[in-house]
Amino acid sequence: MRPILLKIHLYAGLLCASYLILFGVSSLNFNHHFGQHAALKAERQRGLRALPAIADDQLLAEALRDTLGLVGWTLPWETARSETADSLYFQFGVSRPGKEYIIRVQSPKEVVPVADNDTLPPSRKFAPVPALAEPDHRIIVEQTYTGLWSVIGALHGFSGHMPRAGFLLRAWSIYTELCVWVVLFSIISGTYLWTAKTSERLVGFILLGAGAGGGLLLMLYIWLWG
Amino acid sequence: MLYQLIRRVHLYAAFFLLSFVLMYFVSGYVMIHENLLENRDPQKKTRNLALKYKGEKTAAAYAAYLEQTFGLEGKRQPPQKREDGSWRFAYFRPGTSYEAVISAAGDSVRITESRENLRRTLVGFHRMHGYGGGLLYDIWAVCHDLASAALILFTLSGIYLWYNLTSRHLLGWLLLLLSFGLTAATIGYLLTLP
Repeated sequence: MRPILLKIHLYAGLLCASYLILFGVSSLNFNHHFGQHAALKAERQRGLRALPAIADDQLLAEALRDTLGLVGWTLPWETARSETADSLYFQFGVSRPGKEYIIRVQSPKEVVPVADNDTLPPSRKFAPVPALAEPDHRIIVEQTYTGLWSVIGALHGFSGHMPRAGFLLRAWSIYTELCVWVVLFSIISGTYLWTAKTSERLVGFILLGAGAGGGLLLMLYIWLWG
Repeated sequence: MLYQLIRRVHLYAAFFLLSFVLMYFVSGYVMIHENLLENRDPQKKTRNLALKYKGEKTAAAYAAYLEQTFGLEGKRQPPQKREDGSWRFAYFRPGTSYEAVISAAGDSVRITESRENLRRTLVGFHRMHGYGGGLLYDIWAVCHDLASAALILFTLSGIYLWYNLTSRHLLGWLLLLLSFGLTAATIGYLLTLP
């Protein structure tokens, strides 16, 4: 039993090695903020012939995100509409580990065609009226690259449930689940393996009492009395 | 000799920090599985009280007075002076938080107490970090640092122990390659995704 448990403890630990290091480093960063976040911006534009016919702002934002091929969560608090004399504007935000986007969609308002020929200037009185072109929607995507440390911080406990997430992120969610169970198993198996070492029992019990027991008391105290 | 020393460091560090490591992984599991426990809005109680305070009108003086007079317990958050002249003080601890808003005139305070359910209490334990906010919470931050460093220590000492304990290393190298490869690929993917 012990040799098998030791092997599982060893090899399962090796499988989770990078995850534990990432956990440890990101946790230290949460406390000490030694990782610098970047804020590099870039902008690109494209046009769309037609927008999805969706009335709900959140659903429209998600549809446009998918049309633009972006990955991440839409941000309800960044979603807004406005208008000027000749244009309608729709803005929304998308966020994911490593990048944030603000997308602005500019749509022309409906153009009213001129129907009365008498209002045309004399030089154009007999010129044919050109067909109106289908409105073009101009989309500006402003992206902010947030850097390596934001990715490291986000992967800390990242469940992988992100819209349009690829295979790697789904694999990461499975890896997260696995590592949690490996750590819990390692605590139990490590304690069991320790019981075989009679020379270390006293030290082990002292550390469990003082450290683990003290930690538990600290948590209880904070929870009950703060 | 070195092997035994590193094995003892690996073992004793785990025992000493067992409660924190266990708490972070259990609460973390609850956080990533959002439907595991019920997620409810906090129960709030608000009191509007007269403030008989004659001291200095500074953030530190107000905070000390509020804690003594109204028994507001928890990690002190940075106070906020609002545009209307009022002061907002917040105290947080897992399961319970307080918000105290002193009016611009300084003659009244509105205290809101929020009580969280189990899930949010666990999340509160997990997310409580940073120094400042009182001695108790600085001790907590030290324990947070130790638990974080311990994860790195367990990994590095564990790799050393595996290498010296086993004669055949192929499986171990493959597992390490898989582990670091997946992490590096995921980070690279997120950094390069358009």
